[in-house]
Amino acid sequence: MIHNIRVKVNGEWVEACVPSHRRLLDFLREDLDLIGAKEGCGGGECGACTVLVNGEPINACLMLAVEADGADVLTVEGLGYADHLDPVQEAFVENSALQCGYCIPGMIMSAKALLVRNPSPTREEVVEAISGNLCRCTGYARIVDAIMQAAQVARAAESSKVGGE
Amino acid sequence: MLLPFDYVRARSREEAVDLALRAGAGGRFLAGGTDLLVRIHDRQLRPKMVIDLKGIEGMQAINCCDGEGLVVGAATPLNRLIRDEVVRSKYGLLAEAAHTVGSMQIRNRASLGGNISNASPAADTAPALLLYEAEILTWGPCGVRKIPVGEFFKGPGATALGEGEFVFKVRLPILKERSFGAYLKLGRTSAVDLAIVSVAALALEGGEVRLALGAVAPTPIRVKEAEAILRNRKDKEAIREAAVATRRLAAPISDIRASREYRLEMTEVLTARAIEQALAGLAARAR
Amino acid sequence: MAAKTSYIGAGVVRNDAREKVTGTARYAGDLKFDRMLYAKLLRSKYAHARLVRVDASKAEKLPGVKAVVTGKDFPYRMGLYLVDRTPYAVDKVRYYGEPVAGVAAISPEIAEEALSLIQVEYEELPPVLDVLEAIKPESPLVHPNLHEYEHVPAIFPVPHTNISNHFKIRKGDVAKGFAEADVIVEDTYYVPQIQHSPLEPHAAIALYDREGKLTIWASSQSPFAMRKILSQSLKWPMHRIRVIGPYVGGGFGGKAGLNVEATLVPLAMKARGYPVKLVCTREEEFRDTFVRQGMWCRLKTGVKRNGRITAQEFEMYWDGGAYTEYGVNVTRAAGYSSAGVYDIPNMKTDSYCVYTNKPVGGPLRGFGHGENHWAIEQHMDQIAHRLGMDPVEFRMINLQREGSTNATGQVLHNVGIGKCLEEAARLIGWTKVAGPAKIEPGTKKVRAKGIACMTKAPAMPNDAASTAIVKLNDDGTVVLNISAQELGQGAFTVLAQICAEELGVRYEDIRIYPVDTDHGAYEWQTVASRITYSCGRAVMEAARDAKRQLTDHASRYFGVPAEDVDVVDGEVFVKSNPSRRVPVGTLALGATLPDFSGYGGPVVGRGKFIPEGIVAMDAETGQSPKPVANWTYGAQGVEIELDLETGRIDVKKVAAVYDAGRVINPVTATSQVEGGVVQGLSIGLFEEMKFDERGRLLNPSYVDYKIATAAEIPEMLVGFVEVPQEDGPYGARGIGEHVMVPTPPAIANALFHAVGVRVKRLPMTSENVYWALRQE
Repeated sequence: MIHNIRVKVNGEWVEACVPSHRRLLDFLREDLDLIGAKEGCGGGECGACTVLVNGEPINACLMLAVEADGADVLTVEGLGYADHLDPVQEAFVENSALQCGYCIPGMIMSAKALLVRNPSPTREEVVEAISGNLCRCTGYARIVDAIMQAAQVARAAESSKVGGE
Repeated sequence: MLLPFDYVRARSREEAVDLALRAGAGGRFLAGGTDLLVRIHDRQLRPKMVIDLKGIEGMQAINCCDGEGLVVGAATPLNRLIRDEVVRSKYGLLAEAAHTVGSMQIRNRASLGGNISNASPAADTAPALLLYEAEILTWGPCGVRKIPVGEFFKGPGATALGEGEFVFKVRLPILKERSFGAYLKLGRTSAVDLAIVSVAALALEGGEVRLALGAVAPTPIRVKEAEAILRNRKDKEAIREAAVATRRLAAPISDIRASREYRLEMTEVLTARAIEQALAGLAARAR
Repeated sequence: MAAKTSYIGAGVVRNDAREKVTGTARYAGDLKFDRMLYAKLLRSKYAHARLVRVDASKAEKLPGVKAVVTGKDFPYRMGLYLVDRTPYAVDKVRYYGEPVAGVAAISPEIAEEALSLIQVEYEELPPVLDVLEAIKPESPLVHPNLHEYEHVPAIFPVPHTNISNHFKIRKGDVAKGFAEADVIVEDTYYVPQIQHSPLEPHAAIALYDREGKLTIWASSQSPFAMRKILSQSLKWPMHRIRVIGPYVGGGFGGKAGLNVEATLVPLAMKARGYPVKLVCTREEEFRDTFVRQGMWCRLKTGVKRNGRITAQEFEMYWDGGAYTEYGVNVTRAAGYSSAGVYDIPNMKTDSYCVYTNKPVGGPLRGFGHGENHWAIEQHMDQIAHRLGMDPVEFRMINLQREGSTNATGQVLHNVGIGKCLEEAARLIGWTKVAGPAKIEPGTKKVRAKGIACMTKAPAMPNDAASTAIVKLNDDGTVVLNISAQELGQGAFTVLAQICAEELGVRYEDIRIYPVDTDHGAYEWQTVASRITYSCGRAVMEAARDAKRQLTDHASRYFGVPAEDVDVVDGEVFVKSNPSRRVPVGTLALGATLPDFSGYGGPVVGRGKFIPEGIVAMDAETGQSPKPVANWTYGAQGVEIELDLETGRIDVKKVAAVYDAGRVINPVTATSQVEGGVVQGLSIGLFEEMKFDERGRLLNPSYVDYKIATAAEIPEMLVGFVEVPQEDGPYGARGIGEHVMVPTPPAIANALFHAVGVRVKRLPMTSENVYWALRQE
């Protein structure tokens, strides 16, 4: 069965025809060439395919493309460019919170969702937010550091804005 | 990559049932998809038709306290449940248990109805539902059925659901007394794991302590015989006796996650801890 | 004048970071080509069976299918050290999961459907699943034709047995050593098969084009080795084979050598002109790529009352799996390092690589050392306990030091282990212990500390070499052409730092591109923690060569002697008159002299490195004055909290100290250590591949093969010791694998100090620990 869907991907509405069994992950990677989200397991266990749907992190391997009809999807490609990084990305760079990088787009999306929901997370809350994102290289410590730092930077930016008014 | 199937988003309860009956054995209901799509991916299931229930009115609603208690639409994602103020304050044990399901990503999709419909003996929300004496509202070819949660689970992967029938809502009756619950789950890792053993304890102000177990019997079970021991005594000895009694009521299997013997031992350990935590929490709340 | 910035020892930002955080970094599975086909493999449902009939005719007729291959189509044996493996099973299958047939189709769905149309008739044979059964004379043979297989000289198969390599150490007089001992300690230890589990599953695309050239894009640690194996097996000239290696999403040894890519070769040849892509499922990743071999061992040590070890006898039996083409070298490495970090005068070691009907054993981070140190480092604690000595103190007595000999009889110099152990003990807050702590009744949780050491050398052929080419662009930016792979370890960053340091350009101006065997400088493989050491030296030499050329241009350009010219931060200047300066770009393509004539020409620096003076070990005794390029030492201390009621170990703190010789980048080095510690912790507490009685892997998924999540991380204290490696760049040596080796035995030792209980079998799951506690 083929479905005509309309999905807002990284701020742009996309119209497409997808078969029923097309996963959101394949739709992003194969149809839209957004290869930031990775397939690590296909079973919702590793988090490498994490994207935000209506602001919430989900495993794109466990959602059908047709289910995303009408939804707002954000992938790592929607965050920033190398010369204009999102503060979360910047913090990952600064903290050297990456090695092979395969888990990183998913990790960053989990972090992004957390900070939008909770601008002042504790370390425990950060750990909880990323415990569904497996990483085999870094040992996680720097990733947690990076997310804590991104939160702090965002808060500082927010308070300086308030001060300026 | 998934192998082909057809997807239909049901617009009403009636349509969902209709589609399911027509699809027969090849039909599968979809809510959060965190179990169904995994099984399709792993080639354990090859449905012809996947019927999405999320578009049905009320399937993702949380309503409370109009005399009916808490009513949760079966397709409500667990994270929405966990973050709901009423659930947190009045049915804290359910929120706590739901919080231990999978990862953040999974909980944003996985639903309460799905968690129980899969009827895993280790379903994390089941012990809490047993202790809140929840009622499972199903919709099927004959309309609504109300099934006490204790009669819902029939065995590993088996429920009281008939052909074309799905869980529509879960109702948790009003708890008149103050209560405090504890859900202890032993996994292999500290996060994102299935339970080897799980124990829920709910201490009520009137003196009752309710106990339920996951992953140690063909279904999640409530252990009223063990609860009886704590009816009038809450001392260390009584807790120990209740834990021992609970262990006797467990009937676990050995599998890749743990041996039967270890599960039995841990049932006793976790039961004692859960009772202690629930009682301590209740006492703190009373203060 | 700008002061020279030293890039050595500087924690510069990784040069792959921005690409990776923006999701632009491409991995093999991200590549897509026009007309691309999708491959799927039909895998054996038996651990050991004769292939009676494989009928793929129906699959071939399915619309959309472009090629189907079976073992008979492509019966070429391949292998890095022992040529024992065909891409598809030919006459029999040797493990549950072995490829029997492959399909290339226009969609993955069609490819999978085609697999279901292939009919295979098996005649089941008794599977060989237990390594100790496999060595018995009456055991069925996994490879009856072992005696016919080609192998490198350093490997010693035992014909007509399941033993594919028998490595021996015979040092001193063991009988005499044990006779001198006051105490003899003997025990057995076991490690199960485990998986590397990189987050990126193996992925490759192969294209056999109209010219007859085979191009492979692969997630690989070994593009050049892959080319070599294929060239030897197919008897093709190397220029007909091209391997391109984009970023690797984690390797840990699992992507070394030639692996799943081999199955694509016959498919690509049959579907000529179509790129054929294979991406492993997670299930295939767990079972059908390399795994770390299981190992059962017996270790016996004689020691004097004063704590001095007099003799050691060590037998290791490696559960090598169905093919041991790479695994044989793991067993060799574990054999020649069987003294660990200790000076043992009399030694007898036998390391046997044994075929079984299990997944294929191969290299995994640590390469035999995670396994043998699991035994050695617990054993040392056991001996210390028997002698009533503190484990650190006991180790200090026996540590290798200046002038000591190791298992191979090599006389050691500049040994850093003493400093490592001292520092690790200090960081973890070690206080003397003599045996387990006393536990008050009613206590539910206890804390304790443990310590373990390690050493490892790069396990590689004596001719494992590196090359580097430094090319200057017109504007003075630099292309550093090397073929080390960026697996996440930070190779590109460190190599660019070395290049910047030597050439005098800015680190940010250096670019490294993905490996391409047609265009890239030669590199043996990105394995063995050898890149900083070996490729680093090549880069150093290439950058110096380029700088010499630049300086020569400048000398003519400025009209001063070459000695009066230097290059710093991207500028070339006259030392005696620093106001005379030009950007490197001005002289990159040669110098334009005052009369407008040209001089020099484009700068291309070249460098190479091969570790010199490595001498083959004696076949009978394993003795050699210099068997390997270098030894890296390290020590870890851990603090655990043990739940006495559940058996759960919570690792609270880990102190890890390594002798890196020289730390080129403290940030990437520290993060390597952190990652290794957590991988070690994960292997220590959770990881085990479980098989049923027919050899079927029961847990090929993250659901039931758990790896550490963010919720498991301990506090990590990382330290470095710098005892220079004489032939390493700036004294550096590798640490990549070493960092995960001592974590499991350190945890095991902490467990003993907590409660006097030892778990001699990995992993230390809550359940395993619980039963050990109950037995006590």
